[in-house]
Amino acid sequence: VLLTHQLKESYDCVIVGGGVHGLALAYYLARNHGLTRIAVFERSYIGSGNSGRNTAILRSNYLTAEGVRFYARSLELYRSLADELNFNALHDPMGHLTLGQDLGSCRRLRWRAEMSKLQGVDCEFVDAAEVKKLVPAIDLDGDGLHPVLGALWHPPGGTLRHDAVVWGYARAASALGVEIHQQTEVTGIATAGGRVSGVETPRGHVTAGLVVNCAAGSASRVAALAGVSLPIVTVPLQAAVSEAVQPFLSTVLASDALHVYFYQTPRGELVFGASTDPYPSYSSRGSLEFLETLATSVLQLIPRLADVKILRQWAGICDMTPDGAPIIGRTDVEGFLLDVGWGTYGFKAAPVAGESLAALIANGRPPDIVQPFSLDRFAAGRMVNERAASSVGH
Amino acid sequence: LISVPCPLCGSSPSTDFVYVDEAEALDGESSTIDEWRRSLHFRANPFGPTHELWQHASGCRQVLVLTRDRVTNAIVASRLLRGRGGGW
Repeated sequence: VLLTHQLKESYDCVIVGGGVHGLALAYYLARNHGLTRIAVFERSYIGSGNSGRNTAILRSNYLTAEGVRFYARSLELYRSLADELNFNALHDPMGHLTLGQDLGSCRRLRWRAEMSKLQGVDCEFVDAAEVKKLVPAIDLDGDGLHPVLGALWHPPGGTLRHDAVVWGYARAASALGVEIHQQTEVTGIATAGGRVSGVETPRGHVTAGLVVNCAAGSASRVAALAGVSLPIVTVPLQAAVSEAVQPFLSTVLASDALHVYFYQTPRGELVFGASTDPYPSYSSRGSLEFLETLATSVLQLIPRLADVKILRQWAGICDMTPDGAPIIGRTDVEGFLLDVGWGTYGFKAAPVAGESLAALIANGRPPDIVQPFSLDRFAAGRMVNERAASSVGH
Repeated sequence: LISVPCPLCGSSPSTDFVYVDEAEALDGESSTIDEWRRSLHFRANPFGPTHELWQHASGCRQVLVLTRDRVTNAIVASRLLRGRGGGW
């Protein structure tokens, strides 16, 4: 149970958004740097947004050196997180397999394998026979339309319980003195002379010299409160879960060509994700055409799932950037910082984003690992092209 | 699935259309380099009603200006872009 607090008149740092990113940042500010005059404002309850809506998959086999390094550090932090926070996060390093079903995608997968190896990440391109060994239930013909030619095999990939991460970070941050204010929406950001001076909430005004936007799915809206515009388009990404079936799948299985990814939970359910919706929206309603497309793709890979029923479907709200990489760091408004643009890969990045941003705040300059992800890269033309490293169709 | 009203074809499912972009037109004559750069990547991405360009790709192929609420997906106005002065 989290403590509730009276609102103070001022804090050193206000974090907008009580999801896994905001809470990780609060925790690392307090633990690594001894900063504890921190308030996290969450408009609903902690973890109620995208932190509880993602498919809880971890991996670090990205396309650019900057991306691989960044996500590898995140995975490293995730591996020891349950011990560190004394909170069982059910980390399951089941491995992550991305199928190549045409020559173009095989080329990209080989590229990612080599890039990962260069960064010391365990990842290799395997042939179809190896795929069949890893996933015996697979139809290597891909229904005749998408034959499996090979795959990117990433043994450290896997899953981790996302709500446990939220609660673990929240409990640990709270124990270190961070105040977590649930049901408290930030409705305004006050600036004076190009500097942040505080935030407005329905419970009153709070002064703060630092305000961090960690509101995934509302990044543009929160930034607009400070007069900052972002290179972001917000799009829903749907997911679904099936009834439980006998265990048959022991890796995360993703397909580049079919834009689908899924895995089996310890309870036997299948968790599926697929393409983002084809137009921008903040609506988290599910759609029938998503389920139809998803079913078609999944059955081309695992025909025996034809009779399995879907239990529920939902959507997360994804802030997509032009290059598929996040935006971390400063803005033109002094003291207003960004931890946004997490597209479809925010959950797996939360520990490293929190750790790096905490270091930026404490030391006054961004650590090397996040320097490539600054907002000014768009005007300067220094994009970090990660769009090809996702199984999600954009 | 949302239904998109087309002034020429009547209402059709959104799958017949392609979302193009926000309908903010850049004045190519007087814009500075910085304005061009911003228009390439930065978007209002509003939480609420906005004007958008959609092409009726599997229909009349015309580009429409829709007024759509991005929270509810309700479309309150639809007209042809054709005839708007300048830009598109």
